[in-house]
Amino acid sequence: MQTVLWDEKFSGKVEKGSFEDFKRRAEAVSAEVYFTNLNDAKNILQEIFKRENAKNIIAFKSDLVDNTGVDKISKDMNINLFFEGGKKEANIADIGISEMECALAETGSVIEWSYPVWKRLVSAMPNVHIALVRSNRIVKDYESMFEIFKEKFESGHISFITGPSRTADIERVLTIGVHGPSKLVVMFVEEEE
Amino acid sequence: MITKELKDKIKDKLKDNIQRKNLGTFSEVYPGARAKAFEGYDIEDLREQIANIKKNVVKNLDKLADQFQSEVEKRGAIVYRAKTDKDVIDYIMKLCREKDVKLVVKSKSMVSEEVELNEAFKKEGIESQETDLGEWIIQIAGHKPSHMVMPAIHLNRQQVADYFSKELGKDMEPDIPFLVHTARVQLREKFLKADMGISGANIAVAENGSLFIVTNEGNGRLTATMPRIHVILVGYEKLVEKMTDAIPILRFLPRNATAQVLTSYVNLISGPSEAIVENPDGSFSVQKKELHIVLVDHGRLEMAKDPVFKELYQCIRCAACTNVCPVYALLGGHVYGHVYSGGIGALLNSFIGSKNTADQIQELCLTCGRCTEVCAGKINIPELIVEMRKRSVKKAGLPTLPKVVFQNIMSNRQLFHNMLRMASLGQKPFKSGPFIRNLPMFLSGYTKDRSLPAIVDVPFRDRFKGLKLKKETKKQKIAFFSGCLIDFAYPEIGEAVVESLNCAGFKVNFPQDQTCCGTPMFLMGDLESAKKVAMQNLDAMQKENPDFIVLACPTGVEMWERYPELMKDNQRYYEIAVKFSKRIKEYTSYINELCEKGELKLKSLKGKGLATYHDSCHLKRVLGIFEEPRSVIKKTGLEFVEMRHCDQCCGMAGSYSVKFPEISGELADQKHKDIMESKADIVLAGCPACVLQIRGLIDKKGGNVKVKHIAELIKEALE
Ligand code: SF4
Ligand code: SF4
Repeated sequence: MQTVLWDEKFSGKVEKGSFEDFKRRAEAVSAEVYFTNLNDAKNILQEIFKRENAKNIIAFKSDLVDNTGVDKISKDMNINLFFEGGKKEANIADIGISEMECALAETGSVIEWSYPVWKRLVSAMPNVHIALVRSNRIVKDYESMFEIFKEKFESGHISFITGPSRTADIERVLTIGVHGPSKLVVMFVEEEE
Repeated sequence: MITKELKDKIKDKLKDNIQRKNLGTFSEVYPGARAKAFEGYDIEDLREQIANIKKNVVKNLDKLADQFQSEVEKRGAIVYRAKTDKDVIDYIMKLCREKDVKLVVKSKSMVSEEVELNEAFKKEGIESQETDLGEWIIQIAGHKPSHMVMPAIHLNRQQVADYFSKELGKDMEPDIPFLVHTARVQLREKFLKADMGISGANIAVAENGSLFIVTNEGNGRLTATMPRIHVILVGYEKLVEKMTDAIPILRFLPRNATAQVLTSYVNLISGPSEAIVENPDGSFSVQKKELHIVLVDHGRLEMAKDPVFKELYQCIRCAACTNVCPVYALLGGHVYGHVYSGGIGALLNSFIGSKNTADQIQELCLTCGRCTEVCAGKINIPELIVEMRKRSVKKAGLPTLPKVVFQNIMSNRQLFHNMLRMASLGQKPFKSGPFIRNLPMFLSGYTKDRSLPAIVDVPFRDRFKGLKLKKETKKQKIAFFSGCLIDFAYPEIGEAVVESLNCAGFKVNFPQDQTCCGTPMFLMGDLESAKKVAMQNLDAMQKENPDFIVLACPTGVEMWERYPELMKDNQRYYEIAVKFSKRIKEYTSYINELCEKGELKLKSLKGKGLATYHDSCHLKRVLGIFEEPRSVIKKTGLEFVEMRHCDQCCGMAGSYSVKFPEISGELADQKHKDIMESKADIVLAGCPACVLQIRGLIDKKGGNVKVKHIAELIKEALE
């Protein structure tokens, strides 16, 4: 089974979306959006861990996640960090961190390759989800996104995640955070040359 | 006949202030929010795309279903084709027994409502847990969904808190964030333990066996993720051919449903992914998930074969049609049957689900056309409702009274007109027995919320002869087709039409052999009587051979436009019908055109008061005429103000006010309020039936407002 959706060749091939468009759309649905480099990413993560008073963090391993140094930050802050586990770990976690395949500017969504069950738990169960995206992977619109699907999606599971989980089922009053995260943080990370 | 049961339900719902408040607030904010969500998109183009995608699906349904199945199977999931509701239930129960399933978590699925899956689980002794907040609320309340997208919209926070308190055995504050959080905590437990997840899907792609599940709360994700088995229930209408067909649907569905650019989650599932399987000793392993896709017929295949109702495949269940439906806003979803509500619900239910009540509830539709304007799949809901009415008349036969009236009286012009003249002789003609009361349209006897016009002593057809008309300056001749209402109740509108056209230089005649246009018979499905009157009208026109036929009544225009189709089996009349259907002019737009061309000059009525305009449903939404009447009003120099809800049905809607006087009365109340709030001195309309309704309600409920047909205004402004 494939493990990623993105292929570096897409960078040159599909139409790029602008960060501003993404940010406007994503913030309109209460996502927290950053554009940063690896160094600053560490500080932002630290801030968020502190602010959320995190005790347990679950993460899905990837190079980008590793490069942000979550391992060390968690250790320094005395936070339990799980790179694997089951439902139990997912259920107690305060924060989930994972890398997304790309972002979709048209809707302000991040796109997750969701085949591994642990990855889905990381983005779906905790109260806060931090979604890391490489900064050169903003796709313009559905058409461009579906070109990628055409080329790389044979089978599996993909999620479009657009802001935190929400409901308006009681009196049409918008309420954030039902079954999924109540906070979605999207961090575009520029990697050093 | 409307059953007492339905009437009682309607009365109940009209008294449900909580539901009415929730729905009222929502229908106020929805149109603006929707428009905002669509900013930057070509709505019409997207609708067209969706309609075409779905039309293509119906055409190739068998092929696409086979392809979908084989693509899904290729990817290692199991497909089961369920013909009936029982098939769906049997399949799932068997699966549960085989796999030792004790707890099922469900995210939203209309199909599961259709087949009443929760009831089946209960019988089987399996715990099934709705996890969508709205669905959970109605599950513990023991209700049915009242809206396709917002199932618990009929309840308020206090009621929800009460149901939660009862369910959880402790007191709950009616605080929405707290209630939502409680649901999160409660349902987490169930997600962790569940053996099976059941969900619906919004799009099923034939080309690669993919399914799109569009949700907000995140329960769909957890349903697909936590249990070891996932069952997706999907109706045939969700099929599309290609992946890219999903694009316009994804763009449209959330915007149209809840005015969102996109829902929080879209899950795209193709074949089984990983699942965690827990062992009895507490350890777990990661395995391939067991994925079952149940492709559900339950009446849908029959629907696809129907030459007319196959259009229902264009429905993507966004519920926008109910969001704008004035009847739904008053009654909510429960009166429509147990799954699908609103006009589309009446139609869908006649194939799927609560079939037996569909005949009844389709009567609730005003055929006002608001739904069609917003429908994602461009479904002409009112037209399909009319078709359904015709079919039910065909099946059951016309009720005796209309039958007698249509076939023995109205198809005979002289007799019909004599009866109308006779009716005008009685002091209180409307109380003279059931016969008169049941004549269509303006002879109905319900006077609770509005006064009815008296039938005039001298109908327009007689007054016409006494009109002093100027010598024509133009070559073209116009024939005026008045329709019954102008002829026998509002001759002064007829006079205004004739005089204003004459003033523009035309020779205007009123062919005396004209009769009822045929709309009442047509709408009741009595095509034979409709044809008879159509032929009389065509003969009447043929004698004069006018260059234009002008009507000041939008339903009459519509009916004339239907004549060719109606006459298609009669070559001679068909040709006449085609010829004249091209010469039809609707009065308000035509008079505006004449003014714009400088062929009719108006004097200024400036300072003579503040005017507002009521859009007749048929004039605006069927004929697409709404700018022209406004433009011509402004040309008279009158000050103009828009009233709120200017294009909402006044509640007249043909015989609707007779069948559902309470609903019609509510709509009349609303219209009255909007008119009063506009502070206008004059209400104008382009439709004599709307004039009737609005004059009546002003008369009954008070207000110092004049109600006029546009023609009467123009007459005042003639030089
Ligand atoms: S035509 Fe009017 S009354 Fe009928 S379903 Fe549509 S919006 Fe409702
Ligand atoms: S009929 Fe049209 S508007 Fe109504 S639910 Fe279906 S697609 Fe949406």
